[in-house]
Amino acid sequence: MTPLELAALFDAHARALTLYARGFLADPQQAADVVQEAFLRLMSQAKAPKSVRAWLYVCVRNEALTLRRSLRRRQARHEAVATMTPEWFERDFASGLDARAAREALQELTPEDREVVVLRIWGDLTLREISEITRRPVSSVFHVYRQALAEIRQRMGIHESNRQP
Amino acid sequence: MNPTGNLNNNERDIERLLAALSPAAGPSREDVLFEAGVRAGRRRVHAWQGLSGVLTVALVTALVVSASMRGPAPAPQGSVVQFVPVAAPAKAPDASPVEPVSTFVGATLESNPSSYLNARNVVLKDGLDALSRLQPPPPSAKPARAAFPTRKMLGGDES
Repeated sequence: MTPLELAALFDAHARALTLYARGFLADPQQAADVVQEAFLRLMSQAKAPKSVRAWLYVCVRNEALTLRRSLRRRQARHEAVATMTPEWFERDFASGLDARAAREALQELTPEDREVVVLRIWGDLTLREISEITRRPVSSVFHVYRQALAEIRQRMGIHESNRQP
Repeated sequence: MNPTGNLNNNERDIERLLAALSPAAGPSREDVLFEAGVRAGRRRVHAWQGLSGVLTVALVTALVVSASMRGPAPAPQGSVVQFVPVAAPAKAPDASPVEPVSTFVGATLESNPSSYLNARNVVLKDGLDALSRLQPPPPSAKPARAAFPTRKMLGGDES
């Protein structure tokens, strides 16, 4: 993979991957390190993966889980860092949602539910790809996703519209 | 069947609202590319280090094998000089003192009428005509210079 291709992939996916990593790691610097490591591993691959985007998410997930496991011994520091976590989203008043409220709503989800939401919305992965990454059935992923959306709506106080699907 | 088709409008709305949020910035692109370059260089260095290590091992192995095929090294050859102290023989009580070499040589040469010293003295005293008076030594005469009395000087028997 050439540096130009890597740069293009980075521009397209780095932010969403970092958001995904932050679902596992409280320290934003560690999340950034995990994403960087995933891109470096991608660059060292002799042959490009079939789905680069899904491969990157799997790589970030494995790296983050490994790092989180090693951080268990330093749990006190981990929690202290979590209290000063910066925002997960850019402040964008045009979006109609409060970035801080969205972050808090996401943080209150279970890690499994949050993972599915992040992969679907910001990772733009299909449910099948998500099911391969999380190793859960597609139907289970879809059920979790709907449930998580309803929970976020409720926590953020977004009123339901009366439109029918 | 696409399961996402089952989302209702409310779910689609919240999905769209959330998707409008942009995730915060992650790692710097320049940092990633820089680190990638550093690692690529490190891999190259490691390749050279590995190659030189393999060559060193091969060289040492070849040296060891060739040395073992040559057989054991020959034992060092040399001569041992041993000094054995020898007790000096007891000096005979009647042994005469050793004469000085110069005296002995001078006396021997001057007592011989055909010796060089004798001829020189004669020429200096009487001139060149006196050379005719000098008689050549008889064939059976003793040599002008006697054997050096080495054994006598060392205290041994002269005979």
